[in-house]
Amino acid sequence: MKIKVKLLAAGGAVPKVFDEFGECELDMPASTSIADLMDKISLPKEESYTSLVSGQAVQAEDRAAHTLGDGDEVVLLPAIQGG
Amino acid sequence: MGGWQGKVLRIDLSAGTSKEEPLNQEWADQYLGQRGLATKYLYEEMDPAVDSLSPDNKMIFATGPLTGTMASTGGRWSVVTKGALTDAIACSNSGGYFGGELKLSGWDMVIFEGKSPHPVYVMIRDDDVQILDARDFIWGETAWEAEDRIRTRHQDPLIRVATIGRAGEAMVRFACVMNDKDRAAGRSGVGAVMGSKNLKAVGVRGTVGVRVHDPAAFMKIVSEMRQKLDTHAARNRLNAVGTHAMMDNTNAYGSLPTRNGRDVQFEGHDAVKVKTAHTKRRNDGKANVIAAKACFSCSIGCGRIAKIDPDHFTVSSDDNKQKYGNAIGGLEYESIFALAPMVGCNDLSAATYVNALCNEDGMDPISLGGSISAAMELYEEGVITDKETGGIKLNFGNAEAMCQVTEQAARGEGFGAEVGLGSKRLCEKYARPELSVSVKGLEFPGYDPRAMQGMGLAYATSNRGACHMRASPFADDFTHVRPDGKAQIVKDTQDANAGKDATGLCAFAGNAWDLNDYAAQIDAACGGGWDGERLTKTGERIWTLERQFNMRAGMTKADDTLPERFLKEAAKTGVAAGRVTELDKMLPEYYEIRGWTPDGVPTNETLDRVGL
Repeated sequence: MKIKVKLLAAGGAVPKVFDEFGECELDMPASTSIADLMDKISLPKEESYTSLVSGQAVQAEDRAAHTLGDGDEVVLLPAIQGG
Repeated sequence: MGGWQGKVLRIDLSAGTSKEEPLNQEWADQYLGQRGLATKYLYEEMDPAVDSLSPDNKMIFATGPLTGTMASTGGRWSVVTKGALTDAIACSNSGGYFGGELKLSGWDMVIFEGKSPHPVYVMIRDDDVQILDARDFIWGETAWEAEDRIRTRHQDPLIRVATIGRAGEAMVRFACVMNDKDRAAGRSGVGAVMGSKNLKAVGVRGTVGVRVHDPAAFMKIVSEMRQKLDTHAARNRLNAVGTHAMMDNTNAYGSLPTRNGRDVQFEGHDAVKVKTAHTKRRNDGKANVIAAKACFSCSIGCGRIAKIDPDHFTVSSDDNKQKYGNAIGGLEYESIFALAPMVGCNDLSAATYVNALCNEDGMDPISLGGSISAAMELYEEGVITDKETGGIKLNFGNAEAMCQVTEQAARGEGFGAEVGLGSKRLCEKYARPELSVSVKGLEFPGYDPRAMQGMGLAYATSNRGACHMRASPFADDFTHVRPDGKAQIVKDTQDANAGKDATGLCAFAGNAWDLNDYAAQIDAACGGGWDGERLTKTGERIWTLERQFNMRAGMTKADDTLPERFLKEAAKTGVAAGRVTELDKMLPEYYEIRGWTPDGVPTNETLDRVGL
């Protein structure tokens, strides 16, 4: 199934799977969870991320149980500080 | 002893005299420097109930023990006073090169007292201090012009200048103290306090240097910390795309204050987001952002250099405005939030232009945007009309109106003078105080507290009013939309940030460093056994002292609140759709964790515990 992923606030060391705009579309097996998806992307370990599916936040502890469907859009937000 | 210079410069503007005093080392050991030490001096020397714009108010330029050293980000300095916008304790933290130069001239702090009988500026060359006439020289000029003229008159291109623009002279309530053209001690109206003292500028040239306690240990820890910072993903993001990247997050999450807080997501986001700012234009082949810049000793480089679209109305319509089409200081997240979504404008060049006016005449773009957005809501509600605005159509989204009002505000003229009161005084004047999106008179930064509940508690309890730098609940707020657990996070990060703000280092290094990392550099520079635990306790002591200052100034629990909108009107969209800020659940828990009474007063046991 196809999952569209957007990494917001992209800049600096963006994982290679993303294009220059922090977007990519991944072909993932059925029953893929958000946790599986985030493992595949290899995000920098030193930051935490918020995950949104269809605009709704999925909390870190719920990511392993939240399975994705074909065509879902996952938005990932690094927990950066403002200024 | 190292780190501290051991000297304080006291300038009596009323008498036109200056004198050297030894630094109170006992206080320095307890409050470190910058925000902490200057607040201690202010609290001990001044009645917090004084009128903020009277000669009785004092103003302190303060460095930290690591300011002026090679520690990464070691260029921070603060202006500490009673704020003209808030009538609360004010500590406005700035970067650039002025702070490092002040420290290198041999002074830890400069305390300004009284009011000069006529406009003056101060020149500091190491121990040589002169109070000079600013009339027929830089009084009446912009901050940019004042900085250039001081360097030219004193024939030294390495002089660093902190100055007010015309806004500070007009005592615009949210006037800043500017340095290095586009760095600012920005919040709380410290520039208006400087203007009230008839003090236009301070020029400084330092050749003394800074001694450290253990040079070998200092070199080692500073190198280690630089390596840790420079390889961190957050540092790389800040360097590549600046703080502007935050808008992607807040818009997606539904925590981007829009149209004076009526909405939490902005339909015009694509036109003003960070990717757009980095996309080259067709007409001149340049992007809005053309380069990054860094402050003294900083290896992050989050600052931006920008260039306005040459065909945009702000620079193409008038030959006198062509200077704004050159390379100028660019937008940070807080300025683009305040000058775009908050006022409903999707015009990147207009926001860049208004931000440049803020830099040129010394105004806080957050409070300016929040005051214009309040005026726009008053206008759309019919409370004010063309009669009050002088014919300016002040609807949300009118970028030309935003520019016009800003030009007026910078000079204290027309309806801009009313905007220059700040949103609280403006809305009170028109009997609609609930439309001011502020706490303690300080306008909101770019985080809606309905989606970010921890930030709501942080705004309500911040000693200087609604501020995004006083606590750091970002990680939890971007994960959990509920009040549970926020009180402890807010309390802990308030203490930690107060400690960091006393060091001379930048809070943004905290993306990579914990408090032990900050403290290890302090210990190598100053000696005395500094570690993360001591820095945390110092931060709590500073926080509690600021609270004591505000209480003596007349503030109470009633000031620890949010505008009615955020407590009663649910967010329409985003992750918090249907929710309000649950301050009533968080605030009592916060007081209890702090060791304060249910009325928000520190108990005697708490005062003993924190060393007050």
